[in-house]
Amino acid sequence: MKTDPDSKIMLRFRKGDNAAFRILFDKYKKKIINFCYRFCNNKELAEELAQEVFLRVYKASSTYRPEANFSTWIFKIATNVCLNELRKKQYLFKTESLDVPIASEKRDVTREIKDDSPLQPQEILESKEKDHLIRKAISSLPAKQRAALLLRIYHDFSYQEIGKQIKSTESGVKTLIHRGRQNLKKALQRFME
Amino acid sequence: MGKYCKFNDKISLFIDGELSLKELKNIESHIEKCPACRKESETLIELNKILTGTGEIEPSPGFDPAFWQKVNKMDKKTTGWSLTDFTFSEWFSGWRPYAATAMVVFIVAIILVFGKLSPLKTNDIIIADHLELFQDFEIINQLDLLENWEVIISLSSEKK
Repeated sequence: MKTDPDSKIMLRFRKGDNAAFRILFDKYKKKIINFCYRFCNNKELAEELAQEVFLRVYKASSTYRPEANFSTWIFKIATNVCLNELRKKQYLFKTESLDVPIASEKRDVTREIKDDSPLQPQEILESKEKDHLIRKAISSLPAKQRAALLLRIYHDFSYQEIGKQIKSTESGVKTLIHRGRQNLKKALQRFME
Repeated sequence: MGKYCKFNDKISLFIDGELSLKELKNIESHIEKCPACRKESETLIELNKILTGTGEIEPSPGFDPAFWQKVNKMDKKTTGWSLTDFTFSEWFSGWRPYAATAMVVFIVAIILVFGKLSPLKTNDIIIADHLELFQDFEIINQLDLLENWEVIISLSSEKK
């Protein structure tokens, strides 16, 4: 397998070139923070998780082997960190809304819970609130559906790469992405023409 | 075609470019003829646009300093002390006393094991078992042959 440019930079860091790590850090910082943010919908937590990702990359320097593209590898770490955090603090990730169904791996269940949001109907149309609702919809997805969709939609990874990142088969990834999209379609119907 | 088409679950793969060339051609020609799949394809493309249209957040100003602080702390833990950080309590804390104890135990064990197997010790036992042979001057005279114990035994049996 041909070594991608970022893997070569990581190999330089492995040999002791600390400036190489800085290059990767600056390049991936925003992407990893945003991946974590879209996953957990909390900026402060997203930055903590992103720091954990880079600490793991830093620690792994002595044993790093470019078996996949560097971006595939770092996002695999990011996915693991986010999924671990979700397991620890599941209650922080739940969103409650009349509009977003509770999506499970097998079927969707519509919750009959009052939406306490103070938003007026006209405010929902504002771009900022639209983003907020989109993020809420994403964070209501089951963990693996969420991870697979984020990796596909925002980072253009192939199904094969996503399979490595979330420890699933390619066929499993297809199902996760298909179901994730169906769930989001229902949740975000109001924004579709 | 009905509201739900059997090719419906292929539309996601089609949007993501995950179909083989043959499958791609089949789906493309099918979408042209199937309103349900055409609608699904347009909906998923629209969904993608909505999702990718959300803004990105910028790292907070404290992100970098907080990260490098963690790295420095981690480096200190793995490399141990520095000249400016050396203190008595740091030297004798953590894993060092356990490692030193394990090393001493290991060395003592090596001495005990190899001491038991030493040839000199073995020879001492053999000599002690056959002390009566030292009564014979000829054998004493041949003590330098101690290494070849079989010779000593044969001298003894000749005598007999």
